[in-house]
Amino acid sequence: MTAIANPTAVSGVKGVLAVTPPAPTGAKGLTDLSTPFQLAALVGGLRPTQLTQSSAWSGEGAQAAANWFTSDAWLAEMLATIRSFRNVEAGWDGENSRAPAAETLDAAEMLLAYFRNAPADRRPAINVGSDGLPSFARNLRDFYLHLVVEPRNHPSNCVAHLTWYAIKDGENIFEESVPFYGTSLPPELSKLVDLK
Amino acid sequence: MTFDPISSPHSIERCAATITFSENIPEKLARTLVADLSKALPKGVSRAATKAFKFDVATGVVTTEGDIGEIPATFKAADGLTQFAFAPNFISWNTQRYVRWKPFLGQLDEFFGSVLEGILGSVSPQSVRLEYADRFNWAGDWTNFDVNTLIKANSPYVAPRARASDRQWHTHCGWFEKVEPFRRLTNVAVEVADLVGPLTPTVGILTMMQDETNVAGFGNTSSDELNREFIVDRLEDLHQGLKKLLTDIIVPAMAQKIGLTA
Repeated sequence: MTAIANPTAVSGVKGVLAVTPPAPTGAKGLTDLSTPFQLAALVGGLRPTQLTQSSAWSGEGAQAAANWFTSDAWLAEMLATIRSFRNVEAGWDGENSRAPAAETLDAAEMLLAYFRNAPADRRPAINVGSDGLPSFARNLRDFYLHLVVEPRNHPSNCVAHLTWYAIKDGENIFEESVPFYGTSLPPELSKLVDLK
Repeated sequence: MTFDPISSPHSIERCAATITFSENIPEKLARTLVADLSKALPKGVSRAATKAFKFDVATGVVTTEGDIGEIPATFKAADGLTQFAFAPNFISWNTQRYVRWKPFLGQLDEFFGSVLEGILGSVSPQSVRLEYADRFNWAGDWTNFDVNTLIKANSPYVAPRARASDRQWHTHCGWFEKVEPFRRLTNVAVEVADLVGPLTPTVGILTMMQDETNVAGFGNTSSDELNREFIVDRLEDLHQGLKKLLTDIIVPAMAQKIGLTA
């Protein structure tokens, strides 16, 4: 367990033509691309980075939808924190800290993919303890969460084990070594951060 | 000067998965599935309003309708950066908020799982497609721009004439090949363009792979095998294939920087 917490296209359907209001489609300006790419843009209806008219990919020079890394500061900050701990060596805190394992940092990134959908006041902040384990924490008057990402026990096919202590609605909640597979959040954790 | 991948842990600007069916989903079934899906949306996801008009072929009369709640249906996450589309002959999942593969696949399965079960009882998947748009922004300007620090020298995916250009250029290529009993279409597009604002160089790399079933000369897959697990298995295989493809396009140092070689 870590000792550090950081509380802080439209298809006709039998005579009916349905038209979706202008989703930010990047189809216009994509005519230089092969059919699969044009279709991809039509299906996706999302425009990537704002480019000039010189772009044959998506360039019409119009305002593009903001990318998540500019629209979601929390996610960008958490990902940057994880990245800052990649490839660090033991003793990174100037003392006897352990180097974080890549697989627990990977699992922490996967957790972010779910936590980002939680209400803002339930999104925990990430940190890495001197034991090298990533942890998430949130400390509010009515909500407390401290979650540690632990390496999986081989040969388990999960990506990590999660242990957390929480206080929600006055209730103390403790779960230990819950397998996390990456493709879904453990239901009890999902409920805890108000995702379900 | 160097290239910066567009986000911290990777360079993925957009990721999309599309499953196309051999024929249109029966209309009544499709409406039922969309209605059921609309009633049980994940938190933050909403159905995009659909305006429609009806054209009566027999009389030529055109009437307008409000939100008809029919297919094609589009669902959006609250920030609009993730979309789910349900059309008569395909479903797609498209996000600009890609973080990692497993959550992407898991959320796709969570959202479309029950819908897929319903669809696959009636029609079979004809193709499974996965595509990534990666972006790398140059830290300098056109005077010191050097694409060779991103794209491998003599890359077979880049036309030499295009690459020789001093300024903006783009190149596309695509091919079919046999992968297991499937016909796989691979497309690569590389584009050098200007970012709006500072007018600094940016490089976009679009990679797409699509596995098509029961194509003459490539092999057969029984309808029993074309189930939900088949789709997940194909997506996993395409994901691995696209990772390798991008590794073959960009220089090793960048591949390592964005975690492709981890």
